[in-house]
Amino acid sequence: MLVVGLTVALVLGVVAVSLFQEPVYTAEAVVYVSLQEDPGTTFDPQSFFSNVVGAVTGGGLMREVMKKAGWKAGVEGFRQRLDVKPVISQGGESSLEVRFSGSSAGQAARSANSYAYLFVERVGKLGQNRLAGGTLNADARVERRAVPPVRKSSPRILLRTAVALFSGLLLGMGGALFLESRARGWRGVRDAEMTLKVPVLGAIPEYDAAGEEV
Amino acid sequence: MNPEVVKDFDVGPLLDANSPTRRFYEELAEKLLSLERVRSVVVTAVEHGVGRTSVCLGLAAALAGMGHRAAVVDCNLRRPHLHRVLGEPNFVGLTSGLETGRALENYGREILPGLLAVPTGPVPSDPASYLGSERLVEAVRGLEEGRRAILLDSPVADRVVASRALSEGFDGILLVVHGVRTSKSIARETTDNLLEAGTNLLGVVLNGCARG
Repeated sequence: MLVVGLTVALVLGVVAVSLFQEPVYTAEAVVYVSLQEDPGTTFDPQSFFSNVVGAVTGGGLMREVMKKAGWKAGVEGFRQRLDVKPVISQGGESSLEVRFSGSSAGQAARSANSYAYLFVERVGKLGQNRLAGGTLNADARVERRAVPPVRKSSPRILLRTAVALFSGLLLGMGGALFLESRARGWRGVRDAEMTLKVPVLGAIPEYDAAGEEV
Repeated sequence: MNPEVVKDFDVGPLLDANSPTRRFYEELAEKLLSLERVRSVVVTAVEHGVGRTSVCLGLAAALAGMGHRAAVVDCNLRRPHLHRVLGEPNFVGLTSGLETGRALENYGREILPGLLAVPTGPVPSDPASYLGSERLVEAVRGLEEGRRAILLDSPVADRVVASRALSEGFDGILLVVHGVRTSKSIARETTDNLLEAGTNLLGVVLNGCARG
């Protein structure tokens, strides 16, 4: 009873919370960044890429992206929904993964693409002035545009329900075992034999004694 | 039994052959009789107040009613109770027999035909030395002649385990568990302790369980 009750309560709670939660759609764009060096120079691609990203993302990039994407809810909210991840592959290729989680599929794709294209534009401007005293250069292009996602990324009701079901069963069984071990009062001879693992030779019912049992 | 002295406990249903509880004690008695080579049984409990003395008296009365002579010996040297339940004085009893070396029959009284009750007698300052002595085993075994069962109304289980005479000197141990008040975890722990100590735990009596 406890197991079923707890499981049902947890599942209903999770479903209710999920239904009232704002849906989240996540779209992703990928920007390829090409880092070039002059022959005869040595450079660290990772630090160079970091420098490029640092140089490009400053100077009011976020406000421009927000304007282009039509975002009006404030820069902090935009930042929280934006996830920009620089990646350098084992072959030395650099790219930038731009993810945006919005309350609609269109908004998510629009924001991710706005960031990606403005990033490319700024890298292009940066490349006009050769870097590191003219020995290094960078170029970028949007390798994959963000498309409006068909499915929302959160809340995942099915996954949450499954987790709630499992947790409810686990908690319920744990709780039942705990209560059973603390329980006073036996359900009968069989219960006592199962619990104590010794034979019960007799079960004496209470009688209306006037005083204490000794 | 002197009914004027019994003020806090009604022993009547335990000794009365027509009592509603008698048949339950008779069933218990039959199971005990079916165990081979079991005559002297230590009756202990998980905790105080679960009905050790009641079970001893009810069981012994049922045995006597079935024609098997029996005896109850109060070994609760720290908390003597049998004499109180029976409404009798405790001037002589088990400890008297242990000190003088005389048979325990001399220090008890037949409360029913075929049922001898031996109270503790004067409480010693060092009960553990009495309960741990080989003399206790010899004295109680002395009652076996002509009797089918000797029930030792004993201290709680942890003291029984601590006493070599009680845990090893007799034919088996009967554990009384209260059907309402005893927690399952404590009862389980007690049976585990008794078994780990190597005692011959014959079984459990579920006392005071709900009717029906």
